[in-house]
Amino acid sequence: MDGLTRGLAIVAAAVSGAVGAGVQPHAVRAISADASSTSLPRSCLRLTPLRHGRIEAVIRRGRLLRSVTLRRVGGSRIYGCDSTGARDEGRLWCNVETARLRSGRVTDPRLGLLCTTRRHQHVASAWITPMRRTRVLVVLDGRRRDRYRVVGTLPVRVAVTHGIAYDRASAVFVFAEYGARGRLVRKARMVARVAG
Amino acid sequence: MKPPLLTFVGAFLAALVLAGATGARTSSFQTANCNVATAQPSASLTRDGALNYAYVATEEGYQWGGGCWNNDDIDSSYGDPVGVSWPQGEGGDCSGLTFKTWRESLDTGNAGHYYWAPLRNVHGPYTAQSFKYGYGAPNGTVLKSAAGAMDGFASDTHVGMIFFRGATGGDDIVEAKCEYCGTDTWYRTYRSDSSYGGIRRLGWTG
Repeated sequence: MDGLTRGLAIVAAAVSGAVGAGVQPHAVRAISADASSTSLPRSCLRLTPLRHGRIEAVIRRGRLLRSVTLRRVGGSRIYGCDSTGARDEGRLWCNVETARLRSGRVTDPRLGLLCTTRRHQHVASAWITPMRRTRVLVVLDGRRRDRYRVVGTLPVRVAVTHGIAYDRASAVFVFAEYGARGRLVRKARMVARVAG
Repeated sequence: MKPPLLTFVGAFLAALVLAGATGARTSSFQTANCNVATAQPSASLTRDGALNYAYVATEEGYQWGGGCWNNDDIDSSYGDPVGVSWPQGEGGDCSGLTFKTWRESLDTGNAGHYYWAPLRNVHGPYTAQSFKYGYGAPNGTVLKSAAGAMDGFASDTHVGMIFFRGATGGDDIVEAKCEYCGTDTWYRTYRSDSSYGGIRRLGWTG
């Protein structure tokens, strides 16, 4: 069995039946408001050039990461902020990122490696653009599986602590996407690198 | 229902893409030339030394996510696919060039000086945006009016270092700009561009 086949077998074994027991869900909230609205996360918004117009935001709170993904409605660039609750350098947001959208997909996942857990474990975060039919994204992280519900059209910010090659500024994300009624849409493995 | 062979071929090709297969490029610039040697702790970090280091990188190409180049004034990977790291071509990207020029540690809590040889393949954990907001112990921000040689300017998407401070509003900036631009020095008006902020490596010794 070559490396590629072995890798895909690992994906299949790891995420099979993942929409169910043993999967860690997370909270997600979508907001659409004027840039001046206090319903938007102001501390993250301040780190972006978004000062006017209608802003759509997706705020996620999961096992590892609280993330905000923002876009001006109709805009081609998204912005994001990540937080693990560990206040490195006294910052609320341990990582900030921006990406261009092309046909609704990020051109680069914008890997972030600046965040750590409270136990100083590296956290890798990245955007995944789900397929159109996807309702749930399940990401493998070691023995854990984290479930991300897809809301709206913005890419999903995910996080892992495994599969990180920190010295090479890269990380591997293994995930599966499920559509309505839990039907598998795709399984995938994404290699992301810090760049730009 | 699709014929099984067609389904298999389609799935196989999709799996190759999704698995990020890079086997097609068996001899990239990075695999043929670059190393992963340990960075050398350095007591000094002078602006002149950083200028010379960055100047070596000029005309050596650009690679998204990259951080490795020689000193032959030839872009060995000109025209690689844009915006992807798998070509493993010659050159750094803007943040990789800045990380190496500023002799930074991979440990974001360490503000010490570490020399990375040009052929040492390293990018570092920072993006242009990280530099813009001064993330990491070695990195800070500075008023643009006070920025001098080997300070820099960073936006959400790009970072460059001042090679020579100009007298009429712009500056000569050394930057890894893009695949078809390469790495070089150009006259830029980042200082007056509101999307850019001033940045400074902390701990210069001269």
